[in-house]
Amino acid sequence: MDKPRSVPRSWAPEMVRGFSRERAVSLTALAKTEILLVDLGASLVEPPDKQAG
Amino acid sequence: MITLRKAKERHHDRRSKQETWFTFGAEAQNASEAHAFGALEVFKEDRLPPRVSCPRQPHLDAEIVTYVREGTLAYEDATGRSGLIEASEFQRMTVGRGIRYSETNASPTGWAHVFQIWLRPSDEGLTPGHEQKRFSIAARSGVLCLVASPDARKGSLCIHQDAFLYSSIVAEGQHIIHDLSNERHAWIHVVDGQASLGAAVLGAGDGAGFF
Repeated sequence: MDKPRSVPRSWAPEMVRGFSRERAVSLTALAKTEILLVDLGASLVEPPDKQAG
Repeated sequence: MITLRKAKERHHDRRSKQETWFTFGAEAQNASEAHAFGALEVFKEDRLPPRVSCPRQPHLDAEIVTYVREGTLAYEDATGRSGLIEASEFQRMTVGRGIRYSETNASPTGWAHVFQIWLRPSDEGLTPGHEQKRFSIAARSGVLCLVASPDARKGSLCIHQDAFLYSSIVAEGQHIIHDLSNERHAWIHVVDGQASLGAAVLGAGDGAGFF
């Protein structure tokens, strides 16, 4: 789950098998880049549409 | 659904030479800034001049992960525990039912660059405590390195919440994908560099939430 998939830059994220574009964090570095990523359980985050309601 | 929060939209707090940027946080000044990402209640970046301390932020029931990117941070808490957090080290502190603590740039000459992530814990009134671990630049290069998890898997720090924290340093052109099941959400923060996220380009200080 925590292993990134390194693919050629020309591949569009949706072409990576086994992943849905809607449900994956997909990022391409345009320069050397450092990131932090927090993965949270669904019960811990309320989507904006529900917050508005 | 993806929501973006650009670096310039963060609340900027300057005290003397010290600078803090809140992506989310208790010190945010307006409703949009104050809005946390669920249990992710504070996400802040500090640049501390030599010998300067972070302002103390009294709080109960928080899991605080501190990442020292550059420099050295000295910490001390009311239980008498003290120590240093060096560059590339991460510390998890459970505030739980309450603990007084202070953090200071330990260097007499150099600046410290520090990130803090505050999560609401799964239970209230936890016993205060902390642990820290080094995750080298090499260990975080080219992979999503697991830094913290609820069960300390793969040698990560243990946090009392259904949350996983990853750190990664990727080379130009490298592609990173983190799969999210339908039951998960994520916040990504660009610490340094520049990356594309679909049609958006994120730079240092920018963040994005995945619902």
